[in-house]
Amino acid sequence: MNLALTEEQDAVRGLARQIFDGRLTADRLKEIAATEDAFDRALWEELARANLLGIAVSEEFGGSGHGIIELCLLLEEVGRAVAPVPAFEALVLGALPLSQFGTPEQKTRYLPGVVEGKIILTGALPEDESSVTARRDGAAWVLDGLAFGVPAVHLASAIVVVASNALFLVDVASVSTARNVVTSHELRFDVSFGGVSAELLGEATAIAWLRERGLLGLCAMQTGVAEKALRLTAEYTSSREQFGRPLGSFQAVQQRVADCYIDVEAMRWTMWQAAWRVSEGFEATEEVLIAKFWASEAGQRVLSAAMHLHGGIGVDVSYPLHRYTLWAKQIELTLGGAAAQLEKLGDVMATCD
Amino acid sequence: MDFNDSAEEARVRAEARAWLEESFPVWRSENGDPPYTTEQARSWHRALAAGDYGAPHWPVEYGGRGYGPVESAIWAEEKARVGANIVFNMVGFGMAGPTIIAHGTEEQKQRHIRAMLNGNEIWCQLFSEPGAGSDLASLATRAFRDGDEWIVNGQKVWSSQADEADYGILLARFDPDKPKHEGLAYFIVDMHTPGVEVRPLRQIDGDAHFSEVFLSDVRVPDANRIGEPGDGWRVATTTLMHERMSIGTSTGGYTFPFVKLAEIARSRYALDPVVRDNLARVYTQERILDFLNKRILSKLRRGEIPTAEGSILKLAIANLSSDAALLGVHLLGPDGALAGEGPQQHFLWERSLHIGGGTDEIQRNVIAERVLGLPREARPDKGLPFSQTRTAG
Ligand SMILES: Cc1cc2nc3c(=O)[nH]c(=O)nc-3n(C[C@H](O)[C@H](O)[C@H](O)COP(=O)(O)OP(=O)(O)OC[C@H]3O[C@@H](n4cnc5c(N)ncnc54)[C@H](O)[C@@H]3O)c2cc1C
Repeated sequence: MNLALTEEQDAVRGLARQIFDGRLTADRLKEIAATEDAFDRALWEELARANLLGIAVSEEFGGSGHGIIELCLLLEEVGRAVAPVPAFEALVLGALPLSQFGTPEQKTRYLPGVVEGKIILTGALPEDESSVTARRDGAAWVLDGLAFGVPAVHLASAIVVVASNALFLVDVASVSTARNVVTSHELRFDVSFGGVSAELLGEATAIAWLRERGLLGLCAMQTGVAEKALRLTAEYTSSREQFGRPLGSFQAVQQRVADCYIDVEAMRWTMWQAAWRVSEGFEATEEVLIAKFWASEAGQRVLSAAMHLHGGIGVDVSYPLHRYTLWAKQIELTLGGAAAQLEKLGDVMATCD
Repeated sequence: MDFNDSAEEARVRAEARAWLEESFPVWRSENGDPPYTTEQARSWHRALAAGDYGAPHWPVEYGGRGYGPVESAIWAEEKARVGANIVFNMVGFGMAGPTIIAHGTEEQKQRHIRAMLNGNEIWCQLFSEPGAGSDLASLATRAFRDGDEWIVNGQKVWSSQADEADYGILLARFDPDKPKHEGLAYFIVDMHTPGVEVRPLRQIDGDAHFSEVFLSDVRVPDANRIGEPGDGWRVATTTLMHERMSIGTSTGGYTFPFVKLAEIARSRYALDPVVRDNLARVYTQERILDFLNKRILSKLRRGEIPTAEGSILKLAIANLSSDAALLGVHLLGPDGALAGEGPQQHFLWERSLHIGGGTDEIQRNVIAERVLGLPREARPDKGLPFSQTRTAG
């Protein structure tokens, strides 16, 4: 057993952190949030130049051919920086299933562009049953129905879609969309597939395969979000004084911060356990559910505490903490919150011998 | 012990219900559904005032009905029943008004109480500062006496509704050589005085409910002082007690209503045992609040001052409001992620109730130290002249 990162993995994390820390000043985040599509294109291009967008794409298509662990390291940094880039959408929901299930032609069509930052992909991956249906039309496939709450559609060229009991690839230009705004001020789209043609990517097992990785990606981001919120809180309560002493010298504050640390560690290690099993090709259903349970429930708890320990400044948008709170809630609710994970885990527990 | 209305209380309730059932629908048909703008809230307030319900808890001589605490609670319940508990000038009615009535001069009462009642004055509270939140008594805004006036300099923060306010209640330091609680004076400030600059701050929910307020050489007439110069803290204590109680008793305005929560649960998950448990849990919290309110009222009625009860009430309502909001968001499923009114909006405010009006920890300290008699927290600045404390240095 060895739970340490390899030198290469350490380097990935260091590189990502350096890029995010260098670019995403508080002012820059504000500036991007005020734009129409809330996307930091320059940052995306820089990630491409550092070959981080190709982290889990094979060398054949210009990537660096790493796996899910390295991708999770990148996503953790995305969360840590609350970075306004569609990394989860493009790299997890889009590029992973394309790499795994796509034909050589499909891969050639999209993956080099993803690696170079020129093509963005996204995915319509529902928590449970899909409300999109697929039917055959001669040799082709046609999709009908609505997918709700799909992220990054306004930036993407193609969507990986769960329809009926299989995974498809659809050109964004062929669908119509209605935009919604979520509590984190980001856009989500209701995508309507009115008889659009689609390419088959994989059968039912591909959905489970993708859902596992989707959940994992969310857990990695949430770990970064919670970890950074905790660091901000530790710094803030160490420097702010009330009653003639630092807030952090009050036991009520210390105990709560320490509990947050325990929560973040639980999030981190349930996530790595699941990521490692997935990357080794082991059965990981249970581990992924456990990780997403912690990411959801402990994520909410840590952000609540972080906000609380900041007092009034936590509520004020000129201080960065609120972004972490808003992200954490979105990540918590995506692909099912804590209760949904427990229910599924309960099913696993109750039905195994 | 009797939890039911007495004959007199039943009469007050019937009268209130009849009046509301006649008046609220009329106003509502013109103004539609919440959220209401300040002007809409003002117009409802004026309708209330026309029916002598502007501030029924105030003495008759100041335009109230002289309602005692129990009658006031009945009135609040009846308003909540029909959804007419629309918050307007909360600092005025809940904090500044009661403080002026308790400690103000006759001239101050004549000047402001009627105007507040008529909906002509909105008030804000200028207490917190960047360096003085939980430790309010360490505030640094200075007031210098200059003949019949005071000259005030400093910065306030998180002042709710300051951008709309006509007047503010201000706490400032007039003598830094006294220990921190003793060097404070309490003033009424006209927000339109030269030198008062209000800069709205945007909050996590995207709105700007509170502001920074910069005070530069603001001249405040001595006639606007409430209490003696050294009495500032004592007067502020009255305000803070009323603040806690008005946050605590305003369930309707601050928490996602239980009936709506139950509606969502019924429509989506009526048979889910986990959801039913969580819903029932929130319901028990709501009932506890009811009892807490009753305890406070009965104490007030006996002429006693509720101290710990106000703190318990505020903690309870903050917890209820968080739990109701988080459950509501959860029950909405993926829709809970969407920006909008409803529980999502309450999620964005969930923390504020734990912070504003004295944080959870400060309320717990009150309970531990003042009620249970635990040793007081070590205070390095205790008894020191403010000017020699770390905060001042
Ligand atoms: C929505 C909202 C509206 C407000 N409206 C007004 C207004 O109209 N007028 C006004 O004057 N103010 C207003 N306030 C300010 C409010 O009163 C202060 O935010 C509050 O008193 C806390 O002060 P602070 O923000 O400086 O936090 P701090 O005092 O810095 O506290 C930060 C954290 O440290 C903890 N802490 C502090 N002291 C202790 C201790 N001794 N033991 C354990 N933990 C401790 C706190 O509980 C908190 O979690 C408002 C605040 C909010 C959020």
